[in-house]
Amino acid sequence: MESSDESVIRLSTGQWALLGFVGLIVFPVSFSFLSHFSFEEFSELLGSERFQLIFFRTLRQASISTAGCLILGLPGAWLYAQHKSALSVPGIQTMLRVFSIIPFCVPPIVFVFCVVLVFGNNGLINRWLALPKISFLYSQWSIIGVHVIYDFGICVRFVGQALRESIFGHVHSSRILGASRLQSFFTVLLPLIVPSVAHAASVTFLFCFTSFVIVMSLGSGPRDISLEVMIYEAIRNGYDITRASALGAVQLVVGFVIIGSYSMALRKNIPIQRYSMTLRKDSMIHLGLWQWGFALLFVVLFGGSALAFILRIFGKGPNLFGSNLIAIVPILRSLGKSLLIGGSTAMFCGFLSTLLCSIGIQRSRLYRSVMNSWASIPLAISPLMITLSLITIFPRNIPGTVLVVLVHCGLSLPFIVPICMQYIQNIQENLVQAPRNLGANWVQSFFHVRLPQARSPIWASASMGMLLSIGEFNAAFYLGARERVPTLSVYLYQSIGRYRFEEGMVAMLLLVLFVVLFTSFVERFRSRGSRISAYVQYKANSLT
Amino acid sequence: MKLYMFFLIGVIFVNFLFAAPQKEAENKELIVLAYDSFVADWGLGPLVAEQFEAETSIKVQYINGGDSIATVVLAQQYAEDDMNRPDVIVGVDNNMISLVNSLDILSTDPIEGQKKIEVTEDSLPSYLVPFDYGYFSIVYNSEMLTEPPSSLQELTDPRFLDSLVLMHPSSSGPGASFLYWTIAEFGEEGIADFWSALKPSILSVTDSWETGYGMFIAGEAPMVLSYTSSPAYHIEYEQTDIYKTAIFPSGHYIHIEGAGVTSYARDVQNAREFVLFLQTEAIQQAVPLTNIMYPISTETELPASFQSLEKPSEVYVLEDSMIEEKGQQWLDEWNLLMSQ
Repeated sequence: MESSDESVIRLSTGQWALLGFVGLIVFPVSFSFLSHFSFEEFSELLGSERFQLIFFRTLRQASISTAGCLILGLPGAWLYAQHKSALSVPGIQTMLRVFSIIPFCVPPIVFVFCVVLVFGNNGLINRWLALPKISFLYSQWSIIGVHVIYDFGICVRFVGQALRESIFGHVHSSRILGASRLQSFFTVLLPLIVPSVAHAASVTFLFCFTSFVIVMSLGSGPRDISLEVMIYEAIRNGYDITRASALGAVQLVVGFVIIGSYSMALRKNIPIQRYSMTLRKDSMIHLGLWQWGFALLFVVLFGGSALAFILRIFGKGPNLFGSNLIAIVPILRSLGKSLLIGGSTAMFCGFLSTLLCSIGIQRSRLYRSVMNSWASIPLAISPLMITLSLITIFPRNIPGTVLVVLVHCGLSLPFIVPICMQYIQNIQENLVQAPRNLGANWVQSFFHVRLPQARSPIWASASMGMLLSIGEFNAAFYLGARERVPTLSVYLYQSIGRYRFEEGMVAMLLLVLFVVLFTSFVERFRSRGSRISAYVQYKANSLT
Repeated sequence: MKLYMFFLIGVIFVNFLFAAPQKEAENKELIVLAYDSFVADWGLGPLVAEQFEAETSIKVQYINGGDSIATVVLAQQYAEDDMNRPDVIVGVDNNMISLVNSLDILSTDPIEGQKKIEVTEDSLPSYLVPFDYGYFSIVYNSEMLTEPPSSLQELTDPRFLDSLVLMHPSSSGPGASFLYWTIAEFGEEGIADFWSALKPSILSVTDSWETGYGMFIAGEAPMVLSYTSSPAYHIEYEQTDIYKTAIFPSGHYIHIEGAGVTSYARDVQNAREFVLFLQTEAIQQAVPLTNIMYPISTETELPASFQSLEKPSEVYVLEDSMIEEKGQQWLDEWNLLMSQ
C-alpha cells in the first residue's frame, strides 16, 4: 500500500537517526574538504598543464570505454533478453550472464590477472601459442580495452533486464497492431530503452572514471595516469592532502554530474506493466556474428586463463609443488585479514539493514528515492577519497584495518539500501501491526514478526558487505601500506606486480572462491526475500 | 543458513587468531620500516631479524613501505601512530638525504661506532649507517636482446621500442637515481631532449623496483633499470647467466644504502643497536646473496656469482645540495614531460 500523500516526506525519529547514521559515512568526506580544501590550490591545480592533460585524458578514457561498453553491451543485452530457442550459439545466455555479473562481483584485480595471464607479453598467447605477437598491454588502449571487456556486462544487465521484463511485450503489441519494424523500433523500443541505456552508461562511466587498479596495473605509467592515480600519488609520494583534496573536488564534481544524470535517467524510467511474453522466434534479429564474438571472447578470456593457469602450474620452472609452496602461509594470513575486514563489514551491513528494515515503515516512493539517492553518494566518491578523508579526521593511531572497514561500510551503502528498500516496498505492514493489535508489545512484535520477515534482506545485505569488502582494493591498498599483512586483493596485486604468478594464482583462486560463495549467498537470500515477499503479498490479499 | 552461521563463527575465530598474537608481541619488539625487497621472504630483512633476535632477544617487526622513497614518505605518516610507529628506517640512500631532512623523520644525532664505506669517497651523513652499495645499470635478457645498448643515449634507438622498464622517480629510489644519472650525464639543459627521445623505448614506468624487475624476469620486457649486481642473483639461484648488465663506459650512478633511527623512535638505544648490527660481519656476508648488493667492507669475501660481474670504471653522483635545490623542479618537469 503506497503512502496517501507522497509529496510530503514524513520521517520518524528513527528514520532521521538512520539518515544521520548513513551521513556519518559521508561526513568525513565533507569534513576533510572543509579542513583541507584551498581555493588557491584548486585554482593553481586547474591552471596546471599536467592536471589538464591528465583530467582530459581521464575523461577521454572513460568516455571511450563507456562508448565501447555500449557498443559491445547493447547487442549483448539484446541477446540476453532473447528466447533461448532464438539463439544459435548454445550457452550464449549463460556466458552473457557471467559477463553481466563480473563488474559487480569480480574484483578488477582478478580480471587484470586473467588478462595478464592470457594477453601478457609472456602470457598464453605470446608464450605458448604459435601466434603472431600481440602487444596489447601497458598502454592507454589496453586500459580502455580491459575496461570495455570488464564493464560491458553492466549494459548487458541493465538494458537486457529492461528488454526482458517489459519492453519486448510493448514491441510485440505494436507489431500486432500493425506497426512496421522501423516504426516499432523508433516509437516504442527506443523511447523505452533510453533510460536504461543512460543508466548503464552513467554507471559504466563512473566505474571507468574512478578506475584505479586497472590503470595502475595495465597502464604504462605517467603516460596513462588517471585522476584517481594522481590523487593516490599526491598522498603516497608526498602526503600532500591539500593537493589531494583539490583533485578530489574535481572528481567529486564529475561524479555528481554523472550521479545527477543517473538519477534523471531513473526518474524517467517509467514503470511499465511487465509482460511474460517474448518476441516470436521468426521476428527476432539473431545477431549471429555477435553471438560467436561473445562466445569467442568468453572462451579466450576464461578458457585462456584456465589453460595458462594449468600450463604455469605444470609447466617448467618453479611451481606450486616446488619452491613456492612456502608462500601459502602469507596467502593464508592475507585471507584471514580479508575475512576479518569482510566479516566486520558484513556485521555493519547486517546491523544497518536490520535498522532499515525495522524502522523503514515509511514506504512512499519519495522516501525510497531520498534513501536511495542519499545512499548512492559514495558511488560518486572514489574509495580512495573516502579513505584519505578518514585518515585526515581520525587519529593516526587508529589501525588501518579499522579504517578499511569504515570505508567498506560506506561503499556497501549504495548496494544494501536498495535491497532493504525493495523489502520495505513489498512488506505488508498490517501483518506487523496485527500482533500489536492482539496485545503483543513492540519487542515481541519485533522479534517474532518483523525480524523473521526481514531475515532475508538482512542476510543478503551482510553477504553483499562481505562480497564488496573481500574484493575491494583501493582502500585496502593505501591503508594496507601501514599494515603488516595485506588483504587478499592487495596480495594478488603485489603478486602480479612482482610477476609471481604461482602465488597470484593461489590468491586468485581463493578470492574467486569466496566471491562465488558470497555472490551465491546474495542471490540466494535476495530470491528468498522475493519469495517471502510474494508469499506475504498472497497472504495479505487472502486476509483482506 | 547453517553453513552461513558456520562461516561467521569461522570469521570470528580468525579474528581472534590474528588479533591475539599481535597484541602479545607489541611490548617487546622493534618496529622497522623498510622497502619491499628488503622485507621479502628472500630478502636480507628476515635474516637480520632472526640474528638480531638471537643476539639481543628483541623481536623485529617489519613494515613493508613499498619502494624506498615511498617508504621514507610513509615514515612521516607514522609520527603520531602509537601502535605502529617505526624505530628504524632501512633503505635511505645517498639521493634521499635532502628528502629525509625536509621530512624531519630521522634523528640527526650521529651514530657512533659505525664503519665507513671503503670503496668510495662518497658516503652518508653520520646519522645514517651504510650497509651496502651498488651501481645502477640497465640489466637485459640476452635471449631477448642480442645487441644491448652501450650508452644511455643508445637507449633511445628505435630498435629498443617498448623494451625498457623504468621506475617512477617520485616513489622509487632507483627511479629517482636514474633521473639524476641522466642529469649527471646530459646536464640540466639536455635532459628534456633525452627523455623525449627515450619515451618510445619505455614499456612501463612502475611505482617500485620490485614491480619493474618482476615484469622483466617474467619476460614482459627485455630491459630493466636495476643494479650491476642483479645478474648475480640469477647465477647463484637459477644457475643461469642469460641476464646481463649493460656496462656504459661513460659511467654509472652510485647507490649507497643506509639505515637510521627515526626522530620519533620509542626505543632509541635498541634502534641504534639494530642499525649498527647491519654492519656486523655476519650480515655483511649475507648482503651479496640476499640484498644482491655489494657489502661496504672490502674485507668481506664476495661469493663466486659476484666474481664475474663487471664494475663500472666511471661513477656519477650528484651533490645533496644540488638535489635539495633543484630536485623538485626536475621531478615536476619530468612528470609533465612523461605525462604528455
